[in-house]
Parts: sequence; C-alpha cells; structure tokens
Amino acid sequence: MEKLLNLIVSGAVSGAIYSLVAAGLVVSYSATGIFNLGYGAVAFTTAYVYYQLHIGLGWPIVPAAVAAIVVFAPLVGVALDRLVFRRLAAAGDTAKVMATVGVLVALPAVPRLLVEWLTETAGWDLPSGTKVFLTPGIGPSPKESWRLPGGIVLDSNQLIVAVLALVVSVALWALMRHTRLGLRMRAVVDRPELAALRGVDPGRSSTIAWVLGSGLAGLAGVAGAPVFNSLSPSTYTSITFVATAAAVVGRLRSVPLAVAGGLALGVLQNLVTGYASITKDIVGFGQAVPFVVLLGGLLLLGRDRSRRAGTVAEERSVEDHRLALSAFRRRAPWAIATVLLVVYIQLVGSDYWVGVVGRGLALALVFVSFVLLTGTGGMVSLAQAALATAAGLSAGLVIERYGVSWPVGLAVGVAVAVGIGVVVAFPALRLGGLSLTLATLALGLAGDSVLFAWPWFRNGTSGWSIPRPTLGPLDLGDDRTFALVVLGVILLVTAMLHNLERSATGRALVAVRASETAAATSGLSPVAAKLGVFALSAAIAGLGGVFLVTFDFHASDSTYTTAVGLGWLAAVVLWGIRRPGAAVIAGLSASLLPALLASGFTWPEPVPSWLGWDGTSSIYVADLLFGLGAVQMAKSPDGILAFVGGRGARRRAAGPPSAAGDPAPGGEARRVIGAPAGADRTPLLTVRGLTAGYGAVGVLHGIDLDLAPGTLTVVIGANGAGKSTLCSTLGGLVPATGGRIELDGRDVTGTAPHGRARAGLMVLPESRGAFPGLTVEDNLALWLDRAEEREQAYERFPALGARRHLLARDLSGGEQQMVTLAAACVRPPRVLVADEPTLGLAPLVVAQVVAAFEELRAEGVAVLVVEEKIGGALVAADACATLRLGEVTWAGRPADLDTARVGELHLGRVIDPEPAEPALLPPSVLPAGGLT
Amino acid sequence: MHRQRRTALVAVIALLALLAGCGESERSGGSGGSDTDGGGGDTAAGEEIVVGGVAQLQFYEGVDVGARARFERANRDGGVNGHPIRFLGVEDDNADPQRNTTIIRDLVQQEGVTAVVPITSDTFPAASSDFLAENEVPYVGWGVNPGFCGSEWGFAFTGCLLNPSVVNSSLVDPVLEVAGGDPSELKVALQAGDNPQGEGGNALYEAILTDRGAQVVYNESDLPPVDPPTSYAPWAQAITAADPDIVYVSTNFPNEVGLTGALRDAGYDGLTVGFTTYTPGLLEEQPNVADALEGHLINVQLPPQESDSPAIQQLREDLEAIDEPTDATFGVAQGYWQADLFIQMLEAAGDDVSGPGIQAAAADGFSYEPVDEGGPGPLSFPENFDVSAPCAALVAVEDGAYGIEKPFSCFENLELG
Repeated sequence: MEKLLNLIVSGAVSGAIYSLVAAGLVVSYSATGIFNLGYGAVAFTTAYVYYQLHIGLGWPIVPAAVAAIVVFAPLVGVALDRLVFRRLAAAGDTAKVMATVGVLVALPAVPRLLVEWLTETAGWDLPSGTKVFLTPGIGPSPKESWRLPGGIVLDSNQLIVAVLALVVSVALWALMRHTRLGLRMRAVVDRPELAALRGVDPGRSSTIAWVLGSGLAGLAGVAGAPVFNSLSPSTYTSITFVATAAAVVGRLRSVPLAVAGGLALGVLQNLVTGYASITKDIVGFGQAVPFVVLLGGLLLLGRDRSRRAGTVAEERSVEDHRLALSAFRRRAPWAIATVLLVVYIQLVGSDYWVGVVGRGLALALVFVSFVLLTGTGGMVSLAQAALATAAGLSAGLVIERYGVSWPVGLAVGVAVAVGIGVVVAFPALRLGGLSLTLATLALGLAGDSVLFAWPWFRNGTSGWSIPRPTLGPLDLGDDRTFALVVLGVILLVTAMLHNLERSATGRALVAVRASETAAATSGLSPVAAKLGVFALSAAIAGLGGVFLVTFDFHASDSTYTTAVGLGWLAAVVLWGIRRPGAAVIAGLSASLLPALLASGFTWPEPVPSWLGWDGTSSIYVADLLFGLGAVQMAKSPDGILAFVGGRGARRRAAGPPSAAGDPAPGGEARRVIGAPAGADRTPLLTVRGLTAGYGAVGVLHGIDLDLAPGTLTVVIGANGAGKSTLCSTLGGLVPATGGRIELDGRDVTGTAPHGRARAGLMVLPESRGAFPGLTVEDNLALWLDRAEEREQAYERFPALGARRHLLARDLSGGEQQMVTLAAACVRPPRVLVADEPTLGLAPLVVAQVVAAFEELRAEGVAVLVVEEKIGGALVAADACATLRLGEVTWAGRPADLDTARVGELHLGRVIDPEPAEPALLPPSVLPAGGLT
Repeated sequence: MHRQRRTALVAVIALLALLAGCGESERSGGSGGSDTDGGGGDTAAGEEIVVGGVAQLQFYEGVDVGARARFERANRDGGVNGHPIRFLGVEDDNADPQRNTTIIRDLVQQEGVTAVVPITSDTFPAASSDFLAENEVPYVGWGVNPGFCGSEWGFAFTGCLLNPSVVNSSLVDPVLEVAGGDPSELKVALQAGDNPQGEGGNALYEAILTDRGAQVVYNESDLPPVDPPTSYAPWAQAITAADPDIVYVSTNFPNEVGLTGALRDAGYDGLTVGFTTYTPGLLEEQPNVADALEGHLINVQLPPQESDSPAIQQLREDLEAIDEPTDATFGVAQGYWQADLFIQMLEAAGDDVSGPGIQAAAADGFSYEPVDEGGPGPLSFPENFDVSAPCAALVAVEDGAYGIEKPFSCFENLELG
C-alpha cells in the first residue's frame, strides 16, 4: 500500500513536466493549427541559452531566466512565424508537419554553433554545454529534497515544475477561453479567411500564437531542465513525444484535460515500472508505454468526426506544369540525368564517391515509398524507417541464422515489411491527417523500443552480418555494381508506380484520397485501397531497407531509427513528395551533403583551388541545412522540383498582360450595380472597373458598383458568373488586378481583409459565415465584445439563446446563418456583402434571413446580396443586376427584371425571343425557390 | 522557352563535374600508403604512416589531443622504425552511426590511411568495422563496441569488453575489497538499462558475484537506456526495498547520475558502483552532479590521472610538449593509450608498415605492455580479440572530487560454466 501511494505521488509529481509540455503543445496547436514536432527543440534551445547565460556568463538566475524565457524564446517564435509557418498557413498537412521537423533538427544547432564559434574563433570562455547533467533550473542548485512519510521523496525542482504546470494551465485556459485574444486565435485556426473578414489580422494572430507557444516551450525547457536531467536535444524531443500522448488525451484542444493527462501518464509510467512484470520480461516495454497511450488515445479520441459526405476535398491538387509538355520533353531530362549517373558510377567517380552515391540510391529506394504512400495516397506515415529496419533485420536474421541465400533474405525482408505495413495501416482506416501522422509516429517509436530491442530479432548486441551477394554476373561486393543494381531497381519501381497511377487501382487511390464517401458510393472500397497502398509502399520501403543493410554489410537496430526517418520524409517533401524523381534527388542529397560537408570538394584542374572547399568538422552545419530546408519548404510546399518547373511554365504561359479595367464590350455605357444615388445618398461603397481572377484566368472583367446607405441591392448570376469572386474581391480575399474600390471615399483596393472589416465592411462568404469550431457564444463574441450586445442578439433570435454553448457546426444551416446575421443586426456594419445567404435554406428560414436584411437596411446599412436564383432577397431589393461571365449584363430595378433575362443567365440565351407580352412578373409572384 | 530544361541540365552537369572533382581530390590528395586494396607491398622505409581517427568528441573531449601527444612524441623520437606518423586528427561522429561510417569510408578511400586510430565513440557500427576489415585496414579503439570483439582487424586497448561467456573479475573484486568483510554477508543489487547490453552486463556481474560468494538480491535491466526518465522514484524504491549493501548501476551517464542521487535522496547509505561517470573536470563545473555522486565508486578501465604514476607523468609531459593543458581527461587518456598501443604494433611490424603488414604482425602472438609503469594492459593478441584485459581502477567521488580508491591493477578472467 505504501509502495502504491509512493508510486502514485511520485508519478504525479514527475508527470507535471509532461503536463507543462502538453499544455504548451495544446495551446500552440489550437492557436496555429500546426502540430509542432519541434516544440522540444524550442525548449532545448531556450534551456541551452539559459545555461550559457547562467553558468557560462555567470548571470544570476532571475536575469538569465528572464532573458531566456521572456526575450529569447519569444524571438524564436517570431522568427519561426515569419520565416516558415505564416507562409505555410495554406499548405497541406504534410508540408506543415515536415517543416516542424526542420525546426526540430536545425534549431538546437543554432546556439551551439554560435557557442562553438565564440569559443574557437572569438576566444570566449564558455562551456560547450554538450555534456551537462542534472542541469540547473530556476530553483536552488543543488536541489533541496524532502523525505515525506511513506518513503515519498520530493525535491525543489519537481515542486517548481508541478506548481508551474498548475499555474500555467489555469492561465492558459483562461487566456484561450475567456479573452478576446484567445478567441481571435481560435477563430483564425477554425476558418482563417473568415476570421480576416471579421477583422482579425491572421498574421498578427499567428505571430502572437508562435510567441506564446515558444515562450511556453522555453519556460518548460528552463524550469524543467533538472527533471529532463540531460541537456541534450534528443532528451527534450523524446519527452515532447511522450507529452504528445497527454496532449492527445486533451484532444489537442483542452488545456485542463491535457494537464490531467500528463499527471496520469506520470502515474501510469510509475505503476507499470513498479508492478507490471511484463516490463521485465519484454525488453523495452517500459519505454513504449507512452506510445501505447498515444496510439490508444488517437484511436479512441482522434477519429475525424467531421462530416465526410458532401464536403469538398480540402487539399487542392498540385498544378502540374509538366502536363503541358510532351511525353518526350517530360522524360528527356530524367533520361539524360540517368545516363549521366550511370556514366559517373561506372567510369568517372572515385571509390568513395561511388560508395556515397550507392548508399544515396539505396536511401532513395526507401524514399520512393513515401511518394506512393504520401504523394499519391495522401497519407503521412512516420513509420517507414521502422519498416526499412524491420526488413533489414529480418533479412539478416534468415541469412545469418538460417543460412538462406540473399535473394531469399530479400524476399523475407520485404514480406515482413509488408506484414508490419498492414499493421501500421490499421490506424489509417480510422484516422486521417495529423492523427494518422502521430499514430504512425507512435508505432514507429514503439517499434524502436520494443520490436527492435528484442534480442532474438536483433541478435543481441551484435546485429546481423549480411555479406554482399553475387547475383549471376553481378557482384554486389563492388560498390559500382551495387549502385547500378539499385539504380535499376529504382527505375523498375518507378515504372511500376507510373503504371499503377494510370491503372484502375491508381484511380481508385486518388478517388479515396479525394473523398472516401464518394469513393465508397462509387463502389470502391476505401479499406482495400488504403491497405493496398500501405502494403505496397511497405514493400518498397522493405526493399530499400534490405539494400541499405546490404550496403552496410550489416543490419542493426540503431542505424535507421524513427527519428532518422523523420528527416527522411522531410527531405522528400523538400524536393517534392509527388514525384519519384524527387525521391531520388532527396536520397542522393541525404547521402551526398553530409559527405560533402565533412570532406569538402575540389574542382577538376583548370578551376582554381580556392573555389573548392575543405569541408567543416562542425557537426552542427549539416543540421542547419535542415532549417534552410524548412524555410524553402515554406516557400514551395509542393517541393523544389514543382517550384522550379512551375516558374518556367508560368514564364511560358504568360502572354501579353491583359488590359485591366477595360471598358464594357461594344462601347456601351457601363452598367452600374446599385440603386441610383439620390441627392442625400452618397454611395458608401464605390467600385469602378474592378477586375480580378485566379492566376492567368480572369474572372471579373470590369465591374462598377455603387452601394448607398440604407439600400438593398441584389446581384443575380449563374454558376461561374463570378459572384463569389466578386464578394471575395470586395472582402479582400482575392486581390484586384485592376480597378478601384472605395469605402466611404477612402481607397481600400490594396487593404488587407481585416483592414476592410475594421473600416466597416462585412462580407458573409458562401456557405455560412459562422465558425464551425466555435460555440454560438464565441461566434457572436467575435463581433460583439460586450455581453449586453450578445444578450440583445439572443433576444432578437431566441433560438440561438438556447444553443449558445453548442458548436456552430452542430447547428442547422439556417441557424448558422442566423448566428452571423444576429451579430450584424446588433452592431450593424456600414456595408454588408452576403454571398448566396439563402442557398439550401427552407422557405421559412429564407423569409427570416430576408427580414434581417431589411432590418439592416432600415438601420442604414448598404446591403449587397448575391444570389443564383431569383426569389429570396430579390423580393425586398431596391436595385438589381445580372452578372454573366464576369460582366454586368443588366442593371435596374427588380420590377424590370424579366424571366427571359434570368433564363438567359442560366441557359446562355433568351428563352422566348418573342413573348406575347413582356413577361413582367411582379416580384411577389416569383416562386420562392427561383426558376431553376 | 527551354530555359527551365536547360537550367536542369546545367545543374546536373555541374553536379557531375563536382563529383568528378571529388574523385580528382582522391587521386591527388592521397599520399603514401593509400593502396587500400590489400595488395599493397612493403612501404619503403622512412615513408610516413597516415592515420586518422573518429570519436564522439562532444562527449569524449580530447581524444584527438591525447593521440596527437603520443604520435608527436614518436615523431620527435625519429618516427617508429624510422617511419614518421602523419596524424590526420579525429572527426566527430556525434554518436551518429551513419556519420561514423561516412567518416571511416572517407579516411580509407579519400585519405588513404594505413590504420584508423583512435576510435572512441558510443557508436561504431558494423558498417564501419566490417568495411575496415573488408579493406584490410587495422583499427585501434575501445572495447565497448562489437567491432572490437572477434575481428582480427580491431585492436582495443582494453581488449574486447563484450564477451558474454568470460567474466572480468576487475568489475567486482576491488568493490568487494572496499566493502570489506566476508563477501557472503554482502547483498548486492544490479540495475541496468533496458536493452540487451544491460541485460548481458548484469548476467556477467551476477555470475562473478555469485562465484565470490556474495548474494545478488536484485537484478533488473529496466531503466530507459537512452533518454533518462523524468523520475527515478520507482527504481530507487524497488532497490531500497531489497535492502542491499552494494548497488551496481550499469547504464549511461545521465541515468548513473540520476539514479545514484535518487538512491541517496531515498535514504540509501550503502555503496554505489558505476562505470561511466569518471570525467575529470566535470565535477568542478557541475556541482549538481558532484552532489548526486558524492560517495559513488566508479570502475575505470584505464589508468586514472589521479594516480600520478610514471605513465601518467609521461602523458603529462607529452601534452606539455604540444602546448596542450596537462589535464589527462578521460578522452585524452583514451586517445593517448590507443596511440600507444598502435605504436607498439608498428614496432612489431618492422619494415612492413602497410595495413595488412601491421595487422599480420600484431594479430598473432603480439603482446602490448606500456613502457612506463602504471599504463593500461598488458594485452596479448589474438587472446584480447575475444576477452578483455581484466584491469581496472576504482575511483571514488569524495568532497566533490575524484580520488583513487583502488589503484589501476589487473585481476582475472573467469570462464562461465
């Protein structure tokens, strides 16, 4: 009993460090939408800076801690935000996660490189800080420790961390849930564009979130340093991975739950160590406990609950400039590169560099598995290195222990990789996105600590010898032959992948990736497709793994770890995750760069020797390259190859620039949207000659608009007429390519969305202007800061009052529209632009929406409503216009709008060229649902 | 129009030219003794011998300095059998196995070394050692890596420390002496890391402790082997519950410091013994570590500088001669004694100082004994390809400084039944 109590108390105390880290992870994630795998690196870097200030320069604790936690760490946050993450806001999950891997590797190298330079070059007397244990924290050093009844031992460092964890969690919970700053940050993560339209500056919010997140990481790193024990980046990172389990317990959203999860995790670890005999019997099981918790937590809590049917795939497809090229021109550069590589391997390269290239090619083979799984299949797996290791160890096991031939060993290795790959695939059946990434990370780490620590599997401490085989005429003992054989295998696998992409299976994969529900209704099996792609990519990773260990003459558990695998995926993403060619370049560069950095290079004879380089002996320089990689990734999330190729393609495509703001065709007088301004009504929003579009495609071709206060204007257009583009351009989400937008006489053409919102322009984008992930109360609070105002809104729309604590995504479409309009009704904007506000709503609800617009008009708001169908707001409109192919085809009073004209909008021609009588339909008789 | 493709092509050609240049550097930069294919004949007398090493320099600071001090003395004395030694220095592998292999391949294929000396790293993968054996390059290092066990090309100045069936009694005997009294009265707890190395080590300690009559009351290998846990309470509690007189903590540096401190905090007042925390200079810099280790015993497999024997005095003189601080830290001593072993191998090789020549002379019937009293060893090969030199010193942490508890001396190797 005493033992139990002791374990529980000491576990909870030691779990406080997980709580502190998990709280920071949750806040960073909920404020930036990016799960920062480099969080531990930020903590380490701050702790290292603190150590150098406090111990190296002898600063007292308080100034050193303030300088590190309050000044340095937030500056790191600003730098990360500006250089990397802000630009990645719109990128896919893979690029985001992989950029954080760049941070994980590169950041700790920065201060250590600086210290190395200061001591070696500038002659400072600083400790290297590379061999520091029981690192001093912010408490007394050496620590005070107390022995309590029951054998419980507490010390000052643990107490400091525990108190900080509690204080920080309460403060964070209050900040995120009960302050405007927290609300704005949550809004930006939920729907960044909508947040901008509501006046939230997404850039500023992102900076604040990174500053806050880095500060928290720094606090955990400095105060927790004695508990972390060893001042090394890997220790900090592994504790961060463990704390991730606690963050997942809080569903990555709730700080209090994450803190509780951290404490529980500490207790669980202690109990498992103290009681479970399984930890004694299975090598490594003790370390795997947090990863089992992480995996279990993800499977239970991480399921993607959002509506899958009827949603549009979030991930945009990558513009592939090569589609415009002929097959020959697409392939020619690669063919030439292959020939040159063969020539180099066979004739030019020295033994050493051919060895480096051969190893790079074996790595590239593993990397190709990422192209299939992540590039084509859209699923991120961080367990691929574990698959390669498993294949290598199994091949070594059967070759050395059972004496089978190398090809049989290869087959066994690939088969084992496929088997494990299918196991790894199971979370993918349930999870997607970040949850899948973390689940595969957990599986990989658990594999490292349990499966690959199994003495039978890894042959005790010595690993397995793998003699290089001779396959017919091919002696793989020769590095040149080895490199050529691997190159051949890569070409075969690449050809197979190309065929796969064009086959029915490949189309099924793409379909499942785009929408599981749609694929399932089309008779495809998402389960089969996902398992298939995991199995195949595992086979490729296994193949590469066996070639890697064959190159090394040896298979061991420690060379290709999951942590190393993080860097692998980052390297492939850097070059372009969708192309096998990028995987090859990534593999070669992963092998060549460290070698070049270490040994330098010289040019052939005529080039002067000073153009060469002796290489560096610093171990930090290679790490820094990862940081540059992350910065480059932020610039081109689709990879360097797409970036370079795309630039060329854009140059080719760029014709003469289109004339902006060209007059309406036919020299007719321009049609101006909006009611004619009376003497007392100066237009509030004036638009002249507005053009806009996406890339080379122009959508709006010279729009003129006058919105006077207290008027309701309706624009009608069919699909593709440019309605949503008009709204987005007015809101500032789509930049105008020509023309001018004036709000109350002030030119806002170049103003950012949040600037326009703050000037009084409110845009309700298509498909509801509510934040689905925020409660009704929070949605209102974003616009209505005072509680009385929100009460007014509930009085005006009582249905919302009853649902004020529900998430907006759980409301009906009409209620979501009400949330937005309620906010606008209580504190009216000056101009309101609504994009298809009645789309898909029941007639009764449409009437309520229209009533809200009328109310706003009565308050003096200039209202612009864009609709696809007549009906809805048209009934109440003062002015009306039709939009077709980005031009205003008609403008006038609603009463003058005839059916023929509307039909023309949708059908491209006038329905009845010779009506018996002009079809003047009074608005009142128009069917509510419109004509179509 | 075709600019993008041309850019790609230019880039590819530039890369190839660069690689060709790297090849060029190999051909022009390699000096004598670069023939690594094993067919190399005798190197002419007086020709220099090229050696370079690899170490985890961040952790074992000074490996390069120690080796250089010894090689420079040999050169001042006119070289070994007239051959000067060109020491290329030591590259840092940062305990990264891939980096280690890259460095080894670079030393052999680019720099054309005759032998790789010194090697002091927690990671010396088989990809490195097998490559050296394959290319017939002898290598000298520390017997904690598998590459120094069972390979006729790997010479460790400690002998092979990983033989699972031969126990080195220097791990136990000095400790039992310090504990005093009748060994059968002593209760011993063994705590190792959660990996095969930890489990194997504990089995060896248990075998020899049992042989000496002591009782092993606790034997667990479940400490996280790489990154330290956030609390040592469960282990401290389980160990103290077994009520031992001696606790062996055989794991990595942070765990040894952490668990030893936690045992003291929990009220344990018996002996603690470890293997990794002898790092001269560290206690003065890090009072927390000194505090946690107060009273701790450390089994050190090389002569500690605190002993001030003639061998240590010579070491200090050699350091002084190359204008380095005379502090013989663990890393400095590692580099120095490995270089010392290699020089005696060279002496044994006579005129054939090619890699295979040195190996042939040293692998069969060669004995190493330091010239000055108080150095490591003695060693003899081929025996020490498989077993360790059963020698160690016992260092104690007293008042925040290392002191010699039992001087460096040799015991016996026992075959396990």
